[in-house]
Amino acid sequence: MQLKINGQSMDVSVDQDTPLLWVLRDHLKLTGTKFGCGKGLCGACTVLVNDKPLRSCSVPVSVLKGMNITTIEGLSGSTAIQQAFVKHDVPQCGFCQSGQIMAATALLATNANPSENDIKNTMTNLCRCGTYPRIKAAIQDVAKKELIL
Amino acid sequence: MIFNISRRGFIAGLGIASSSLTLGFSAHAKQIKTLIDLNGYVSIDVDNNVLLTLPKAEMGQGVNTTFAMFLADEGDLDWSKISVQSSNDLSLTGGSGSISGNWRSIRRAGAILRVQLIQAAAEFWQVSADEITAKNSILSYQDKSITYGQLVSKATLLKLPKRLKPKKWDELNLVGKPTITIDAQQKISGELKYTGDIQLDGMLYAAIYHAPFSLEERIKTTYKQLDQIEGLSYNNQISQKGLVIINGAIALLAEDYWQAQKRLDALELHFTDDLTVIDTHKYAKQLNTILKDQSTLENVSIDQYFEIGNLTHSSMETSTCTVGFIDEKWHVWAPTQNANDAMRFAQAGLIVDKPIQLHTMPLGGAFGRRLVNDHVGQAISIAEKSLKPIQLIWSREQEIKHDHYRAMIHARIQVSVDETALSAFKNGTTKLNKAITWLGSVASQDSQLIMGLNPIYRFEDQSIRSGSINTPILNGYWRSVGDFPSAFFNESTMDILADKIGMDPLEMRLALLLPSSKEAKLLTLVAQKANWGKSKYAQGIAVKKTFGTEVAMVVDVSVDNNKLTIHKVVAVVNIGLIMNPSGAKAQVEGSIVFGLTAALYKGVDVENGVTTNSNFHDQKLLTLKQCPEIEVYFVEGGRSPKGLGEAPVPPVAPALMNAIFAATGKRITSLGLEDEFIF
Ligand code: FES
Ligand code: FES
Repeated sequence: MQLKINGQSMDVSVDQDTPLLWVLRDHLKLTGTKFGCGKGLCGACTVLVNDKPLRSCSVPVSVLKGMNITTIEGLSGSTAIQQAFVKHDVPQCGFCQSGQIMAATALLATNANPSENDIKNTMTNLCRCGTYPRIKAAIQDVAKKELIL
Repeated sequence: MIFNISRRGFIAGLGIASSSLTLGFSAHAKQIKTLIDLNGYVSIDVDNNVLLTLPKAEMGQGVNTTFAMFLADEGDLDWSKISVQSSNDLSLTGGSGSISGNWRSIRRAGAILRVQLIQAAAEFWQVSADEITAKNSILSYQDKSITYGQLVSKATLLKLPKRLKPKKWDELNLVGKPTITIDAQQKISGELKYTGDIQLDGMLYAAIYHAPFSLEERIKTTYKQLDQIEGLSYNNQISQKGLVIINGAIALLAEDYWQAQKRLDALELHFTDDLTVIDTHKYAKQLNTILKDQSTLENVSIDQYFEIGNLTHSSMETSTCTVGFIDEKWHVWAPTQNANDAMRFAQAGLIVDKPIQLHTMPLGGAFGRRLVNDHVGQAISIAEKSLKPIQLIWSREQEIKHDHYRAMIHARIQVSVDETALSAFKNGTTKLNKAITWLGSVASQDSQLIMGLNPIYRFEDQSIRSGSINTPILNGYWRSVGDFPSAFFNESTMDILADKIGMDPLEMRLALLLPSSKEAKLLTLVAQKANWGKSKYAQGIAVKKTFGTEVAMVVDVSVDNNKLTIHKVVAVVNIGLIMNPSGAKAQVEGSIVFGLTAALYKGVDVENGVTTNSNFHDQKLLTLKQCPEIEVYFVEGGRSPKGLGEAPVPPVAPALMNAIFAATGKRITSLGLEDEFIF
């Protein structure tokens, strides 16, 4: 099966029903995307598919053929939101952070200036360390910048 | 202050290879240790890269950053070239003691490094050491300069300095200023490697299914079950289907985790033993019976029962362990808060004794859960039986069902105050006459549960008693340990009393505290910061000292029908010396979120020996949307830093419940509000 991940075409041979998460982690060794619950409840496994956020633990890889998949490895490491996460010193244990970054990236891609409510309603990824106040601040920081531009 | 090196037990081992300068330090500053026993060290290589290996685990609490700040300041090191890892024999990390127990050793290591390199430069340029300055890993003399790295091989040949003069507090540049988490960049780019990201050649992935909690030896239950599956026994290595039996659980191996979990789920394992007695509802009744059977005080004015269920740790990273047999040695990669315990589990997991090398990994959260290392024992057992490198991953369901819960605990608190005492109190005496606390718990580690129960308020007569029942449910340490329930019981009771005698909760607390106490000061300050009594929302207050750190808190809520909104939490923390204001604030924020989850959502239920909760839909965590605005203030004072990773947790639940009472007149005495409110 052919997948388009981070702009590259990749070949995998797995069962059709294998969720994307495990194709990424166990077969393609793209381990930046994390496993937290396996049931679409926590968002640790969030990736972008055609620029929309997707919880990769809950989608069989076969339905994603031909679509543009972006994982945390596909971001430069210094996108506006990544820089803002560093500036606001967001991560604690870090385990949920790839998913948070992907969810925030998707939000800002469709809504350059999200309101507090937009952030609250979209950023549903869990963080047991409680980095929420800083995630919010980091997103708001990027949103403000985009306004000025 | 002068550090006398030998007397303080600081041992420096000079690098064996001359390409790096390595200094070792002991976790216990006062103990003389041999080089072999050292469990932390710092080394600098020819390219100026500094690697700090710490005897403590990094689980999000920020120790790596704080220690690196001290090292960089004291050693005049280039911050951008420092990386930190945890030692493979890291010591127990818990009780909020990492910073307070180790910062002096790290400072000394930095100071030795600096002195040693300055000395090397002095010899290199043939000038006096006093004329050399060090900054950003560069040594300068007049217009000449040389990097630390270039002098590393020279420095290794020098004798250690006999006496060291550390810098003055105000000479430190990083310490005391907000500093970004040292590996923040790796964490937000997905580069940081956790245990599950260690991928070995030819590795198989293991999913696991545990036997129910059982009064009998757990292994027996597993056996019985497996006989029914395919005649497997504990001594069999691995079945055709990739099944492996280990102590108390069954594992299934496959080429990816998904396959492993899918095939394991398809087995539809049912344990047939009658385990109906193992039931948290029944335990709750038993606990209340114990409490009811205690005598009632004379003239009792308050006789209140409280309940807390079995609470999960729910770290985002589930129990994971990677194991491979490489070069005649077992290599074990694992998240752990205690390397000794992990090694003990690893050894116990093996049938054939072989050397084990533990690699301690960054933790994806822990909160006390990784003080127990069951995952390590299981993974090594599975690897030994299957003769393959393996990675064990617990599903979220198994993580919730087989956590070592914060033990359920019930309490009965009685307060008796007679009229004479009360009117005297209202007229300005500072004592009330009688309070008594009864406590029941299910935990075997009973002492941790009553920890911190000692009320700080001045009652003439107070006593604490506890009882327990034994259950096979696994219990363990949980962020803030016994201070969590005791804060909920005591600080709720104080509000009940205030209501009873018609006083403002803050005013009554202050009247019952020594005015010079930290608690009184923090309460006064938090009230001021939170606009106590003047907020447009209903407010609740609480104070608690945990692991030496006092925290006072005010929570603002509103309740509309049964819709609860938590608007704001204001915390005032007595921090001692502040090291990293950014990291410190993050710990307080995180603790408040953790405390809110525990207050809002009930613990797990166990029926028939099995936990009925299974994933984040029925064992919820606070979300960003529910997260209130959090304001944090630090009160500094004292000459050493204090632990912060736990102390702000305990006041959250009582402050919240007190606020809900202020809003609704409804007193919540049992944690978990899902049945009463939506939020
Ligand atoms: S692992 Fe996919 S949502 Fe939790
Ligand atoms: S940073 Fe630890 S779970 Fe979010």
